[in-house]
Amino acid sequence: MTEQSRPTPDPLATVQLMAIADEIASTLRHELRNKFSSVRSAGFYIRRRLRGTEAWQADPRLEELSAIIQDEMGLANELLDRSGGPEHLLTRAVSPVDAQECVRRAVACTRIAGERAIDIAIDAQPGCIMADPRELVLAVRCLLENAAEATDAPGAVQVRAAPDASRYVIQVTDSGAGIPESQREAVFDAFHTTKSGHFGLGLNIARRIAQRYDGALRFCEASTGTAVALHFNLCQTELGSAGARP
Amino acid sequence: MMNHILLIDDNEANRVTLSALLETEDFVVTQASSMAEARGLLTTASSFDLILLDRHLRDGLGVELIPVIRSRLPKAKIIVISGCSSAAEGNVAEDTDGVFGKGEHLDGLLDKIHALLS
Repeated sequence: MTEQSRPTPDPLATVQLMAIADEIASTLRHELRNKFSSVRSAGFYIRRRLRGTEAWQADPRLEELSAIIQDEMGLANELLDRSGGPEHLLTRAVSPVDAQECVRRAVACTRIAGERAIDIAIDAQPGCIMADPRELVLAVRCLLENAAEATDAPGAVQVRAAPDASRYVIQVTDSGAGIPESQREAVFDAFHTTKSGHFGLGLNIARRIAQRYDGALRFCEASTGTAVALHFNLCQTELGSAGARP
Repeated sequence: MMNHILLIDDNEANRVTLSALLETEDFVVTQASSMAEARGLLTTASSFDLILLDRHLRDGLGVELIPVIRSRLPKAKIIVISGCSSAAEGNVAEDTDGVFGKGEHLDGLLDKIHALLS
């Protein structure tokens, strides 16, 4: 392979891998905790209802087995807590970040599958957010790539980013078929995808990154296609040279 | 008069089991499975005495509902259900009346609810 034909390395490869691992681990932890919790609650309920009855007094194993359910589920929860996650693999550099520059970087490194003719129109205003710039760029790129996938070629995706009162809002709009209101919750389910070869984690990753920095990812009204927006708190700190660029 | 609890949790099994438990303690329980459903109930339904709020819901962070609850039902108590084993590890700094870790013993949750509503 010659120098010219070698593909450009993805500047977000590491942070994206960590985000995928984080999303999978976090989803599994959340789901397992819910299951442990419901089993424990069910066991607790049965114990309270049976205690004092003839059946309970006739068979001492009921007390013993009930205690096992409570104890084992409690220990399983503690194990999940101790297992932590992949977060420690990524050392975050949280600082005041130039959000406008991050949006531009996200557009520059967005990968359009199959090199389809999808234009990305950008309108980004200055603003400062407290975050790790790599994660902010990744969150925006996830939304852009998701929007590009939903758009038929030739087509366009629009990203608008600007301060709005105390928040900085990054809105990405596609020109696809749109998502019915009834299906909007489902797109945030981890591993939800209608495209083969995809993890179905893009929106989840973007949302988790937003939430990590006290932000949110929400659907917006759109005349055509689908619009989603990342909302972050604007920070008043002056941008430093170390944290200004991703 | 029986106290009315709004249980907001996106996991159906958790809602079924917790509701059953609370009803045996003579509480009236209304369930909501999402932020959107909870917002609707808080806008239209009659008053709730206590809200059991799961921290992570499918359509957002449950704690984002706290300002809505405080505004709509200033006297209602709020207990946040954290995914962590213990409340101390839940790191919930929001304006709540209590935090319950999913790994904690359920006697503790019932004690907290009774204490807040006594």
